[in-house]
Amino acid sequence: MLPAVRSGALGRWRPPHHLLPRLLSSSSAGASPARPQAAALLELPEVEKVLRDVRAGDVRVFPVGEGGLHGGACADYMVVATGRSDWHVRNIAQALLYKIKQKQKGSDRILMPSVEGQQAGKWVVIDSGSIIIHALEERAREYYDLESIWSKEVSPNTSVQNPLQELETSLVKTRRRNLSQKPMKSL
Amino acid sequence: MIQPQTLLNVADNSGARKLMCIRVIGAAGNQRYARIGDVIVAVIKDAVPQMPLERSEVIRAVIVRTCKEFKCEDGIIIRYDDNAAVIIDQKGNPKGTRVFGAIAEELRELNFTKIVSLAPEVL
Repeated sequence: MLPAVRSGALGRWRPPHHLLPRLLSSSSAGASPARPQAAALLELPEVEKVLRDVRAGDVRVFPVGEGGLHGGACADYMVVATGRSDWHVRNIAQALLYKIKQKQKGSDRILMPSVEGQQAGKWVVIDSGSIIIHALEERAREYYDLESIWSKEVSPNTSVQNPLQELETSLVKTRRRNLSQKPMKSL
Repeated sequence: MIQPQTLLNVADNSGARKLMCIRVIGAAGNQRYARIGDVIVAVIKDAVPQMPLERSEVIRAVIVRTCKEFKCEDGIIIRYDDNAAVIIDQKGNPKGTRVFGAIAEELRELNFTKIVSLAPEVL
């Protein structure tokens, strides 16, 4: 009974939380204070330009906004880039942070995003609100294989089709192959 | 409320199944319990065979789910069915490549964005 109660409570709580940004954006631009700030921190074309300048390899952008991964609760875009070594990965992160600093030079106070994994250098995450940038070393990228999570989650059509296909295949009866080495018994 | 001797489930595909907390990091002086987002030192009590992690290995882990209620800033109270943790290394990289089950959004604010981005569902 408890899970049912809890899911009911969540169902009741969720809609206002999800509708809020959409309502605000539809009513008037710049009504919410959090969104413009987060958007001002970095924009997608700028990120791509910086990544191209520092020669980050294999840059891919995944839109994970509304209805995507986590129901849009996490961020709008995920950007993945590969660095050749720990140094290179760290330099990618440094370049992005420098760009953010340069952008806010005139203002009274500078907003910086949270950076994670700067010391290790295998996987650095820059979480600038609406865009999350992952810079990974080649081997780490292969190991974690982030693309497969997001490309799967983002397209809901394929996930709907697959169960149907599975259902069809499960209804069709297939004869099992006889793999045994024993000779057939003659009747 | 995780304290030394608490048994936890593992919410990733690192190869461990059960952990036992042996120390809460940051618990200085008098007793403190670990909650969501805290790092603990744990020992692996049960592991999947033929995986890099083995029984009785000492590792670090982040707590992602607790049976004790967790109060979010916006007033939502979340309580999970189990105590679960994700295994990390000394530098904060997750050991496994996938995280299972629902994860609280507060982990992102506590600088565990890597775990949040691997998770299938964020509350």
